[in-house]
Amino acid sequence: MKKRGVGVGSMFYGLGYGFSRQDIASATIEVCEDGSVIVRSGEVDFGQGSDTILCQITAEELGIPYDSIQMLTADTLTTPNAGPTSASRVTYVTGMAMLKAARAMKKNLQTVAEGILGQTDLLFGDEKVYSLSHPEKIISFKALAKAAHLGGLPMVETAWHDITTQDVDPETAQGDAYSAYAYATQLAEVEVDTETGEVQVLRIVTATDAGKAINPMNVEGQIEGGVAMGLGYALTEEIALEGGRLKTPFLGEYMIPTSLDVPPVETHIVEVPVSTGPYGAKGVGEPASIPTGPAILNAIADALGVRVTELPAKPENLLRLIREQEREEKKLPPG
Amino acid sequence: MQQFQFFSVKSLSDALRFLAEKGDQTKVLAGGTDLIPALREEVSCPAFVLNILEIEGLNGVREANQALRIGSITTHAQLVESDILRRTCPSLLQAAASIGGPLIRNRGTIGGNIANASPAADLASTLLSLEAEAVLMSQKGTRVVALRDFFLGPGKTALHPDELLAEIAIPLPRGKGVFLKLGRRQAMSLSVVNVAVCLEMEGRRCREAKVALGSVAPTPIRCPGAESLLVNQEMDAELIGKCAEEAMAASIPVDDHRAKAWYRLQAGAILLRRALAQAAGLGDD
Repeated sequence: MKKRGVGVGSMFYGLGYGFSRQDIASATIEVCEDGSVIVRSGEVDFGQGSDTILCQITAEELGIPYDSIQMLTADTLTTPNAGPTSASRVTYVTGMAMLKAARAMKKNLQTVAEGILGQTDLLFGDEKVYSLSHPEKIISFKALAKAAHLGGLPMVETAWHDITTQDVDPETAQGDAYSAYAYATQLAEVEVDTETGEVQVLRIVTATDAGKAINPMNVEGQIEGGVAMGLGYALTEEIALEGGRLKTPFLGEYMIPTSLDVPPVETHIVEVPVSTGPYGAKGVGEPASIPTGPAILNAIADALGVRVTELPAKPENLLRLIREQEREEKKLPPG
Repeated sequence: MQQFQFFSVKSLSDALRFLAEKGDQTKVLAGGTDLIPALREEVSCPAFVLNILEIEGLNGVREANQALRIGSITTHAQLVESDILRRTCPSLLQAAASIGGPLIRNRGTIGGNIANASPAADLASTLLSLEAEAVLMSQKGTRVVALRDFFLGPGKTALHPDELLAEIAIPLPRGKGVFLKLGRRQAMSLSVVNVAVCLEMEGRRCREAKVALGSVAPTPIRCPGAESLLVNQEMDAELIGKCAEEAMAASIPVDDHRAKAWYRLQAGAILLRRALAQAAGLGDD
């Protein structure tokens, strides 16, 4: 027989390192004489898209096209320390360092532009700087960069962002351990084969508080990837040990989900801005995978009326629980 | 990886000449999805590796004289795409489609899957249920060995060192075949247990039954005891249940990290019940 169930998993997650552990990032921005822009940061983009986010922040602040910016990242010879890519901290911490550096640069350029245009209500956009009240007072970003270089203003800005928090009270463990928290809830719908114990996840629906989704498609990608990881964690991924020896030393025996195992994932991005992140943004990387396992296990409990307490919830473990439950039911007197 | 010499041959006669001289020190490469990892991990340390993938005559599915003849270097992907198989042996096509993923199916071959003699080989149980024969060639001549006599143990077969598995021959099945597999995920997974059946029905009466299991014994096995319960009987859920029990009683599964023996027995019985019901036209459950 096949039984279906629905489960909910919810989480909150402290962004960055918290508990007074050092949590810093830096970024450098340089506007060259020809108007081209170079960004340097030690942040490692290993596929999650942090180069994209840092580049978007720079483009947004200076009103220049995304593809006019040269990104130099993760090179210890040329880039300033931004801390590790972990703890869902990159957009939140390094993004803020990037925003600070870009705003410092914008201020320098604004000073030069005010001198040239004779106006103070200036907007940066479309590779131009112009007055809001007198739109005819306008200068191209390129010309402004050249003038700024000739005027001798600093055209390199580095920003440092530190979110290191206070530790909690050592006696009571009370306090504010993190500078911000992320929130996410997921729903899982599963179908359990009660004869073989196999679980098929039919659908995952996610709602994630991203603070502000700087790149919504990127956020969706992070959530879908996180769901796949959480699904493997719940159902198939296992490191088997025997007498302290690894019985599964090859990735071929480590069952991460394939594209056929991952169900449709519906993502709902919730935006509740946080004052300490760039444009209100929070991290979404780890929060994406945390609620998946609990949602799936709750869905299994909903389907079967038995609760899995050992991961992964592989078919033989589930079948054992189903059989135990059947035996219990038989013990009860009829009626 | 230990050093070995690699030879490629373009003709069957060159291959047989090579094996006549060096067969006892040679591993045949018929795709490499099992051999290459074995060489890397030094589970296998041959002096010579003989590549037979360039022998055109060993490739493809043919239908002749009420039988299918499948060349040993025919890939799993070719089996999946074969119109002849779709028409005559859909269970073999299902089994081929369940192997690994697209990359492995493009590389692995039916001959490799059989000669590697894994207890979990997905094609083996289906071929057993179809009464397939292995056509073994050497310079001395051709031997035809029923597949049920071909597997001797994990990695052990009836192949002599000077012989090459050239073809798989399958008498055109008169009944309906079904293959079902339980893996640990939907692709890229070895069988925890697999079952293959072929039933020839006359109304609800079973005229002939072939039942085979994979991953529950040192070799893929046929279950004659279970088959004899079905022959000339009216098929119903009760009989199917008895047959599944009888088949699992004949198996000797092991505990390993993929699954425990008790689970293989239980899940195998369920898969077998479902496969028999499907093949008998009684619906899935």
